[in-house]
Amino acid sequence: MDDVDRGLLHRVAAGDQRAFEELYDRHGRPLLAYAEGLLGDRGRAEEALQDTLLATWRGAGSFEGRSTVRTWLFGICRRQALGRMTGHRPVPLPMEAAAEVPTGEPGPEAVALARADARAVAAALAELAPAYREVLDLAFGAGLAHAEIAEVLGIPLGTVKSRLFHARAGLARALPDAAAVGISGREAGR
Amino acid sequence: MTHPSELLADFAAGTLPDDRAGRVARHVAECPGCATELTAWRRVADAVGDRVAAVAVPSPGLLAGVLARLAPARAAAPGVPRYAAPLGGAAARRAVRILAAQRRLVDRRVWLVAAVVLAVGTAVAGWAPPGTSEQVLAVVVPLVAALGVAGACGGGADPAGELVAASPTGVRAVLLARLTLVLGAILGAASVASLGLAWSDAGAPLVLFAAWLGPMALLSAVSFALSVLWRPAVGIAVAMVLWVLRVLAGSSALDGAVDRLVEPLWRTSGPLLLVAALLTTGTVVLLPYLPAGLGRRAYGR
Repeated sequence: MDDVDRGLLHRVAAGDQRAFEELYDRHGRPLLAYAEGLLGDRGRAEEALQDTLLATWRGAGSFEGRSTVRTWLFGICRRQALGRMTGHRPVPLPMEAAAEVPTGEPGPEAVALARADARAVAAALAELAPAYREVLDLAFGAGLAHAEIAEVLGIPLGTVKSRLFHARAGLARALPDAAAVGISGREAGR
Repeated sequence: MTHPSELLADFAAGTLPDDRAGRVARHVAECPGCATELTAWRRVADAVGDRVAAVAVPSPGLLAGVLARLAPARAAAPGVPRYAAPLGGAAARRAVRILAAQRRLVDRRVWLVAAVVLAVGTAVAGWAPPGTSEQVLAVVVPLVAALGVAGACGGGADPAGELVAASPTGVRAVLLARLTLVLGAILGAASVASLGLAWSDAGAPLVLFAAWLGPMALLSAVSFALSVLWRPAVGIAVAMVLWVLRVLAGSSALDGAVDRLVEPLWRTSGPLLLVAALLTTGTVVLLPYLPAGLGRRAYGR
C-alpha cells in the first residue's frame, strides 16, 4: 500500500496533478474524518484538509521516506487542525504512563463494553476526552498501525498502547449504565 | 500462547499482520476472557467506524478549490532568475566587468611569480654589460609570459573552475579575459622595464622591445594553446623546451642545426607574430567544440 503511495507522491513532487488527485482519492476521506474529529466542525475541518492538500503538493519533494506516506499525511493534517483550534486544545492526559493492560481475565470495562449496544457506545464516544477520541480515530477510523499513530502523535509506541486502553476505559465509564455495572467505583478507587 | 491482550486492539482494527492475526484468532476461539476483550474492542471499533462513516464524503468542490489554487501557484513560481546585469550594459562596460571579475579569479601565485621573476630579470639586465641587456630580457620575458598564461588559462587545479563553469559568461569570453589580463600585465611590466633600461642607457628602446616581443608572443601562444587544449603541464613543458634550447643555443652545447632552428623563433618578425596570433585565435575558436575531458574540463561547456 505504501509503495503505491510513494509512487504517487513521487509523481506529485514532479508536478503530476493526476497523481495528486489519486492520492486524494485514497486518503482524503479518512483525513477529513480525522480533522473533523479533532475540530468538531465540518467547515474548519474542510479548511484544514484543503491546507493539508496544499502543503502536500508543495512539500511532496521534501518527503524523506522515514515514515509511511499515510503517516506523513496525517501528521500534516494534525498540524493544520491544531493550528485551527481556538482555545480548546487537548489538555495533557493524566496517568499516561500507567497503562493497565489486562491479562487473561477481562476487566469490568471490557465486560460492560462487550454487553453494551452500539447506540450507547456511540453516545459514550461523543463524551470522550478529545485526546482519547483522537487515538481511537487514528486506530479504528483511519486504520493506522500503532507505530504509525506513535509517529503522527509524536509519542512512544508504549504510550499509544496505554492510551488506547485508557480511551477504552473512559468509553466504558461514559456508558449510560456504567454505574449499574460497577465500573465507576473501581475507577474511583484507583 | 499467552493472552495476546496487547494485540487485540490491532486485531480488531484489522491492522495486524496476517501471521499474527491468525494466531490471535486461534487463541481467541479458545479463550473466553480474550474473546470478551476482543468484543469490547470491536464495540469501540464499530462505534468509531460508524462515526467516521457518518462524516459526509468531502464535497467535490473541495478538491476543485485546491486544484484551482495549485495552478497559479505553479505558474507564478519564480524560475531560475536570469543573470543579466553584466550583459546589459555597453560592450566596454561589460568587458571591464568581466576583466575585473577574472582578475580576482586568477590564482594569486601567478601574479606573484611573474612579478618576482620580471623584477629579478630586469635587475640582472640592468647590471649586464652594455649591449647584452636585451639578451637577458629576451630570455626572461617570454618565460614569464609562457608560465603566466599556462597558470591563468590552463584548467587543472583552477580553484575558480567551478565558478567559471557555472557563470553565465561564455567560455570564450572568460578565456580571452584571462589571456588579456595576464599578457597585458606582463606586457605592461616588460615595457616599463625596457623603457627604464633604455632611460638608464642600457640600450636603444626599439632594440630592447624587439628582443622580447616576438619570442614572448610565440612562447605564450604555444603555452596557451597546449594548456587550454590539453593541460597546463604540457604547455609549460613545451614552452620550457623551446626556452632551454634558446638558452643553450648561445653555448657550444648544441650543434649549429638546432641553433638555426631556434634562432628565428627569437626574433620579432611578422610571420612569427602571425603564427602566434593564429595559434591563439584557433584555440579560442576551437574551445567550445572540444570533447569533454579536454579543455571543457576546465571551462565547463
